Amino acid sequence: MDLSKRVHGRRPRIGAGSAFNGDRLAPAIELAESGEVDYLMFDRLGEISMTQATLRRAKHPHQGYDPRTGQILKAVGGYLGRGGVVVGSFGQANVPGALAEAVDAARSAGLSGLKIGAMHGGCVLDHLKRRNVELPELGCRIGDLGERLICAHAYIGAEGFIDLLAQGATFVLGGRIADASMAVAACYDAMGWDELTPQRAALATLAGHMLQGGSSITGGGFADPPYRVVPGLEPLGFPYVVLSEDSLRVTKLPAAGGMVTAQTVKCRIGYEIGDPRSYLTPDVDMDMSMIEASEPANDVVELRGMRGSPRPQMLRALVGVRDGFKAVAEGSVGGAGCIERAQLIEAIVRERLKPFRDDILDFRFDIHGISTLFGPLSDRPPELNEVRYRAAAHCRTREAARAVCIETGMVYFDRPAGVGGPRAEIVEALTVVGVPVERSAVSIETEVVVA
Amino acid sequence: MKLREIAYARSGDKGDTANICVFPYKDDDWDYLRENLTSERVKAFFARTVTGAVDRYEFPRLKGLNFVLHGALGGAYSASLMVDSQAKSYQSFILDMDI
Repeated sequence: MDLSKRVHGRRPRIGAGSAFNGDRLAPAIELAESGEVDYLMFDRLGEISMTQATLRRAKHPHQGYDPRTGQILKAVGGYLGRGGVVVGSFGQANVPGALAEAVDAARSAGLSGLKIGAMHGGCVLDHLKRRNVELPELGCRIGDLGERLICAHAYIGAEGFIDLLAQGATFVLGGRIADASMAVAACYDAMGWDELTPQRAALATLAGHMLQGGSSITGGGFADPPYRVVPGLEPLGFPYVVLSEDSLRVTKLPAAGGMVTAQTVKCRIGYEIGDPRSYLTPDVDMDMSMIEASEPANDVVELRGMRGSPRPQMLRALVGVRDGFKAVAEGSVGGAGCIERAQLIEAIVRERLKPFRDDILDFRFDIHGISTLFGPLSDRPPELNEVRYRAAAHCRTREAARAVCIETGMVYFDRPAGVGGPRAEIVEALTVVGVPVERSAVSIETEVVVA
Repeated sequence: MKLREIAYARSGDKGDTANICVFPYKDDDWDYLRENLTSERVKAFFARTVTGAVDRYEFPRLKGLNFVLHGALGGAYSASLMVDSQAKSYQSFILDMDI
């Protein structure tokens, strides 16, 4: 291997910094302080996050990026000072804002001289509007959305981050870079590659698919005693990967809680995928179906057999759309006959909401402990000491959403006996729609600032 | 026998689509699982909440199945009115299947 100058005399290691923007920071600090990893990858976005971030920025122009950017940079300051690399989607819908906060944080943490890289671009709103593209899931064209249209961002591949790492940046941030593409850039830099072949991209994308899982690889979402027992769930650690040219090892720090086994890793391979023969990212079309997993040591899983085909011609963009209002109202019913009284409330509420039927697009009434997770699939228990009911409605207007809250959750004495603890909430409903977009329509720029 | 006796699973979402991957604890149960845990049976088990098709894919070497459930969550993202609109809990529900 012709390794990067950043990696000294061992196979390169990339650690998981976060799997989403609300993730715990302690396991990332644990990895950073360990000296075991050369790169840390922070996934700070979910599918709806760019839309939410765009709305935050519209309200407060200096916001719209990850508000924990500076906090995280400082928390891993020692690691950055020793030459450790961070890649992350901290920029969200305001890359310049994240860049400015990172520069400030670096200076105040005594990291003057730190090279901070930012990838700008990826907004395709004007392009899609000019083309007036069709949005089949919504049954309209983008131009028909009017005020409902919020944003459109393409998933960007590894190129920009590769460029920034090549320029020597060690804290690299962007907006809607595809999650796995951050790992592809880190692998490219770590392995000293000069070209991203489909097979290399597959190896690195699989590394990204793993790292993006965070603690779901070390035993999170897995424990189901007595069938599946996970040790050390209390301080569950994050995983890291060790790279070779044709395989990768997934592992964790010995002191970190949890476990890395073929079972936990297999669950991650199959997480949120469709056809395993074609896992599409901006960088590669990866076949995961023939992957093999082995356990060469305790808490080490080796993966090989992933296959790369050339990257898709088109990129994918997500269009963020305002989708009315969502109302959720709850209350508790106690004592003998509580299930029947909760059902009586459902009948009353449905009747009272009839005048709003044109503006209530969807409505459901569930009882916690009986039907909230799996709907009518489960059998009803004979009797309970108490139940909590939950009404949820998707409404065209705020007025209809308010009616759902008033009729379901906010009034004590116009309903059956023994009802308490009402609670109701209205939120603006958002949705995202995927559309293909030409690579030529997506422009990116890179910028390196020395703190 | 409940599926939970011989297999474990993980589930998640992409918009209004849920996926559940299922793996046997023992390699010996792989053929049995493959023959009996069909997409038709999974579709029937979820029939009252899943409105669309159920596709099944295989991991021949990892010995696992991936089920893709279309129209599983009553709408995508915040349009879904479900408590668990991301299908995280489906992994435990499928293990309650009799096989």
